Amino acid sequence: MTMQRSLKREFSLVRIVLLVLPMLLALIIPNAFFRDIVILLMLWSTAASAWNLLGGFAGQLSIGHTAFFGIGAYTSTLLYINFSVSPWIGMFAGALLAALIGVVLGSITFPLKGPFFSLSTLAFAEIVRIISISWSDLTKGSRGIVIKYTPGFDKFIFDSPVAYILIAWVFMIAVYCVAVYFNNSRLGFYLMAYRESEDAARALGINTVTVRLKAVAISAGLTAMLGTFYAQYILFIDPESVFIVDNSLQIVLLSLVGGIGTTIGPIIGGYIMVPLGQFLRSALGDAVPGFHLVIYGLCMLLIIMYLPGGLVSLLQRRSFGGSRLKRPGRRRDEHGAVGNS
Amino acid sequence: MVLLETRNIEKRFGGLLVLKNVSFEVKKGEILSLIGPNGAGKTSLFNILTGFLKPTSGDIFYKGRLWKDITPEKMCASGIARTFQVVKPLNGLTVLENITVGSLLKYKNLRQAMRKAHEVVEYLDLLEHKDKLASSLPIGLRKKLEIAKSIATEPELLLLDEPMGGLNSGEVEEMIKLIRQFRDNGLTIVLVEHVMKAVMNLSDRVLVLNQGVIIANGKPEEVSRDPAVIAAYLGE
Amino acid sequence: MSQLLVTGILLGGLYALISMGLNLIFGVLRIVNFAHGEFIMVSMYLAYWAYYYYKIDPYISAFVIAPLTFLFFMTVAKPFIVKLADSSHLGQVFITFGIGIVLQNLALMLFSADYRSVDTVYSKMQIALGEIQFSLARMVMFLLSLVFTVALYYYLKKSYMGKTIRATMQNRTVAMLMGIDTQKVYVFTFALGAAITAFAGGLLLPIFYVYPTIGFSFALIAFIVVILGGLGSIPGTLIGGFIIGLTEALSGYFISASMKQLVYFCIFILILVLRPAGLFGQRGTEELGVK
Repeated sequence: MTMQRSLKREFSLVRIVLLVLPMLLALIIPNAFFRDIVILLMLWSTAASAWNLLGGFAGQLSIGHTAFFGIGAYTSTLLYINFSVSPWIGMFAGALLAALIGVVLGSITFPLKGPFFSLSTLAFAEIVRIISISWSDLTKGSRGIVIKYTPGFDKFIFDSPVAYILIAWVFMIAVYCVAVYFNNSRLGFYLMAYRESEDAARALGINTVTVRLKAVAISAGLTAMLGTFYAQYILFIDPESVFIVDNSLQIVLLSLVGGIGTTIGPIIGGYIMVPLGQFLRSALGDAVPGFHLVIYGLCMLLIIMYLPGGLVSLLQRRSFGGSRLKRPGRRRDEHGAVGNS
Repeated sequence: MVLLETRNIEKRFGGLLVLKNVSFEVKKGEILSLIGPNGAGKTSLFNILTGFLKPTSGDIFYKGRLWKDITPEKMCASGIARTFQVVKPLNGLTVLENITVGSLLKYKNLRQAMRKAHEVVEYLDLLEHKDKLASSLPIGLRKKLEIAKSIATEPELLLLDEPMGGLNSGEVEEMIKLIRQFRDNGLTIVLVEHVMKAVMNLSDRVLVLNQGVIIANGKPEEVSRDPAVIAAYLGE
Repeated sequence: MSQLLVTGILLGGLYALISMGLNLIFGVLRIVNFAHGEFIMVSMYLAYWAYYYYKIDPYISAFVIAPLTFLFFMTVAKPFIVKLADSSHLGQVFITFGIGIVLQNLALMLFSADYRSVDTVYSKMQIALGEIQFSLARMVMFLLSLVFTVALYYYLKKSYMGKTIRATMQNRTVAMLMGIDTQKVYVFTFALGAAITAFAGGLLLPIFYVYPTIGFSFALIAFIVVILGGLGSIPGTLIGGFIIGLTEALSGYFISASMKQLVYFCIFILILVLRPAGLFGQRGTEELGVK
């Protein structure tokens, strides 16, 4: 597969339609509820894409990414509230902070394998959440922070949802392009090599620690920027919205459903699961509390059990899921990794 | 010119002494085989040479320089490539992409790296398989892919861990020819092997390891007649 | 001070018992079970309704619920366990998490979010030994946790099934080659772990309120205890339980509940990074069953 052909596939007509359609529909259809769903859809698809850079390409399955999301949200918001720094700038500050924290966390936890790595990311995210509640002098704790509605471009607050639609869409396309870059670059190839076999990767000259740290910095930074967008869209943040484990699991779920390790997978996952969740909540949520989550949980279960490669695997022969999401046990024995004698 | 030299390598695993006093040289352009009965310490030595294991004591010199803090990545970057006995293909990637990972070492631009990988694909006669997923290949081709990846890093020294393992006689012949071709093209090769046909046919020199100690070091014909070697293989 | 120690040790026994099942499922089978808390919750509700409608004492219910759970997982849930065992770790996380969500919200739907508790003859009973007071119910749990620890330990060590389980855990492929039906082993071990967890749940009812989301805090403690004590090590779970119990009792005085959780998470990461095998796990075995 030459690079030429690959790029053509990443930006094929089908893909372009997929990527542009929701945004166009949201612009054309002036229904507030619909537009809200599209914005959230694009937000979470992008978050899933950003996670996928680390989780899908590198195989480092973090279930604590909400920490970065929240760090982004709080950094830009606190800078804005306390020092009148424009959230546009605060967004980059948050991204930088998140990237740094990601690198530090990565260097500690990367040696951990499989579920231990995942559990450690969860623990880390919970630590951040608890700190955000306790350190109320800084974060105002559980009360949360309200951003006053004073529209202005420099304040990253808009009266029309159109602006948010466009910004969210730009984010989605941008992160998609980063994913495409990963798929067609030395960094991406090196990450995938690590994911498939750490020993083989090292034997081919790859510094697996460095490439993963790069990936976590990029992934964390992008996720943080989305946190800022969230803050500026909802105009209210609190630990219960930006630091909860549900967010982490949601973005992983989207990637799994769509196709982990692929460029378009997380986005497809978002297109399906976000509207599904919203629909279930509005159709069933009030009548019997908890019912919509029962259905959502069942959907999650069924998809993971019967489509480990995600929906993309139905469409393409090539997917990360097929080889990774099955326990390797039967075919080859990984014990004694470097031979025996 | 001496490419690789070890001096007094010793390796212990807790109380178990696995390698002792292992000293030898690898000269540029030669094919050196490392043989010995199972449990002799060949793989441990191999892993030490390639940075996957640290020796308890002893030194390794590559191109005359003493090596401290050897890691597999550094070894590869310096020109020492290795294959694995239990092959480690990058399963989710195609054959061409697998090899590209190797060529990316020297060719940082992906397009160039892929072009170079393509050359390796042709050189090793893998053209018809280049877009197949590595996981779909039979063992013979996977062994070839294993070597292809390493060759793509343009090494000076190639360490092969039982390249003949699992191959039928036709494939062994092909592999022997291939390895000889590599040497003729300037590569120095060290191989750990059990398949005697390959060892006898290919090697300029043979090193025999038994219970962690070198018991013979010389031309294949000499070593095969060495009584100590015969005793080691037949057991006490 | 000694009161705190006693409280801590009794609490430790409780924690050990609720973690014992997870030790089998996660410690031995390496299945990441995010529904562990919900197993406890379901068992508690079952015991609650048994008491509410039929006046069956939870301690008796526990002895009924546990074997029923075991049978359930050995039969009806069997194909599901097989599927779970064959999934990647992330897959397991999501499958079990999905189950947890379904169970939590089913409970919410059926029983509402109300806190419920039972009031048996002994549930409020306190015993006093000198100046030290402790609740009878907790003492019962503590004693049972000791019993279970010893029983499980010897079972795994001496019995044929126990050895089979350990063999399968160490190398599934080789176990298969030796004629062990590894699938049966997985299902059996899982069912056993679930049954022990269900048993613990029943015992918890006299001590704690039950409500749909009670599972999370128990699950958190269980994971920490199992990892701290050492995956797959039965005595390790007991000791781990004691350590966490004592820590909680001693620090409860000084720090708030949420800070306690913070400390637990920090301990968690620290152990994972410094000594992933836990206190009593075998060094190097933490990677068994992990790709």
